[in-house]
Amino acid sequence: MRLIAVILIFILTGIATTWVISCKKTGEGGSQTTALQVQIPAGFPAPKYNFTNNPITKEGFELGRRLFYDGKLSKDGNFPCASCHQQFAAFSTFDHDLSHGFNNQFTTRNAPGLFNMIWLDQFLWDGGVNNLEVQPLAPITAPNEMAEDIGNVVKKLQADAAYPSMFKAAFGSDQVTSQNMLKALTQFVAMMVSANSKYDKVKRGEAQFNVSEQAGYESFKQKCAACHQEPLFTDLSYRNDGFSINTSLHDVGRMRITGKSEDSLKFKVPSLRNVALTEPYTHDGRILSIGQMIDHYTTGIINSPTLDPLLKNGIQIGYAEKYNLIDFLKTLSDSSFIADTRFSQPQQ
Amino acid sequence: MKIFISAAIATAALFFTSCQREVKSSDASSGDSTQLPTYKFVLSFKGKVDNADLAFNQTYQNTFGESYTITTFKYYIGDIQLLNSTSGKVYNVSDKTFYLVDASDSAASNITLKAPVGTYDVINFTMGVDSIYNVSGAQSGDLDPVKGMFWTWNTGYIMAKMEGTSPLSHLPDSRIQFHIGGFKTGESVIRSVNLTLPEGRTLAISSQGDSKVTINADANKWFYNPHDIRIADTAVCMTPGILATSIADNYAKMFTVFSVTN
Repeated sequence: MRLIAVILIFILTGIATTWVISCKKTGEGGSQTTALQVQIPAGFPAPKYNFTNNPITKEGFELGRRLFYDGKLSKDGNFPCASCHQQFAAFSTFDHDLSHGFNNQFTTRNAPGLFNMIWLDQFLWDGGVNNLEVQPLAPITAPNEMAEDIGNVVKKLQADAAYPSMFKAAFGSDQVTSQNMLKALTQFVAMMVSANSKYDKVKRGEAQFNVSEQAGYESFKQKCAACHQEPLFTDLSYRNDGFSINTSLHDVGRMRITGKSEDSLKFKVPSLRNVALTEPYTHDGRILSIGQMIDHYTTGIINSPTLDPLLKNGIQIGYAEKYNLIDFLKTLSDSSFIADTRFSQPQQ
Repeated sequence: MKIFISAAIATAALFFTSCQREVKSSDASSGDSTQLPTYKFVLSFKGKVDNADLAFNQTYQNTFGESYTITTFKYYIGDIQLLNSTSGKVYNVSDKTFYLVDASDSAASNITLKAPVGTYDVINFTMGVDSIYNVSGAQSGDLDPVKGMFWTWNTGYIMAKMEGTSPLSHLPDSRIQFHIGGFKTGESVIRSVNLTLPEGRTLAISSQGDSKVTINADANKWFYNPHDIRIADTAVCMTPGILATSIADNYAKMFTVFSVTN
């Protein structure tokens, strides 16, 4: 009897698994789509992005991937999303303090890496954007980034040889709309989960920290984790971490969105995942290395009315401790994520 | 043993259901629960400046004697509701549907709606876009960001837009640029509008489907009552906040019913 039950379980689970893999949906217009699932890493919270009206499909994901790498989304064709979000840099901009865009212009901020975005519900350094789907509108329309008009993007995609059929395959209509373009980009970015670093392998029991990484991890938990909470390595709050204002940029951070003086100079706590791949650091990229960033917290804090209370006296980090911390932070690099061909530039 | 089997079936069932496409909430039909047949009527919005028909690039004067021209005049309305104040009967015409009224486009100034046969003497609607659409990601139709009524750096709809010029403006090219938005608590510019039809007049929806209510929208009302907005001081508003809510308090009073034809 027990044997029969076990066999039955296997058969039923088998049916279920087969169904998931071959799951074909009939979309609007009778198109067939293949469902994709985001793998939620063990220990991660529930995603904040709501997939109800935008379930991921192979077709939508591939459309989003093509859009992400396509200069057509910018005014002069030179600035695809990927121009500031490079896979080998965990989708941040390699070696640039301020990202730059159309007509030789600088932006006022450092381009953050893109991964684990479905766990966020506020975007940009100041949290001004409230939904992953509408995030791409900011760089596409900013005159110093992609500098394009959404209506023009839609027209260019509609006139393209490949896009109408890709939109039809993904959404059942070859009519290109901004809504479906944004949904496709969201599907692509939503799949970018980074949780396979050495740190993750240690957590899963597949690897071990060396002595200095382990010591660094202990220091990290004691001195950094209040803001850079595991497993996302950010508590998603906005804090003033003791930098002087750059008087040529005048970036007041979160205050620009809330209009409240108590939010002056506060910026989103960035994730430390892939931190060794995403230098330079802070909202304006003024810090060039992890070591320099640690030095800032120990000796560089500038007091101001909105300075984070946790930083009032700086953070005491000894010389050896600093290098242990750096060793630990390097274990947060996810080499399989930056080599994942699902996210690389598609063959056109 | 049975528990194992049930668990396996439940697991399988879970996978099956996860493959079903969700019904979009925006597809839900509006109206009340009674399935009465509905017939067409039109809400027609007419741009005005005081008693004159709004004409772009023509010079007008506001209540402070400041001269100005208008080049853009558009705003969202939605949550349209008809009420018979005698019987108390209410009909929700466009629950959670929002329309962009654009004075430069006659098609976008005449909204065709449907309601069951009946007579109504009050029209209620919302000016602005319900907060839910300001936080729910990419939208379509009149809420498509291609309409140019969406802030990309600080998510949310520009609920109403008036642009023009004035010699009193200190902005480049003597511009006037009122982009009014904000949906969060304390900075919401979403306003309820309640219009009672002229004494003795009713909107009589019939199977003919040819009733029409013409509503005037007076641009000059943006500048006063209860808040004084002088172009010389304030020719631009492009963020949510106290200025935006003040202008919204003013423009919520810009509508009057001009005519009803049945």
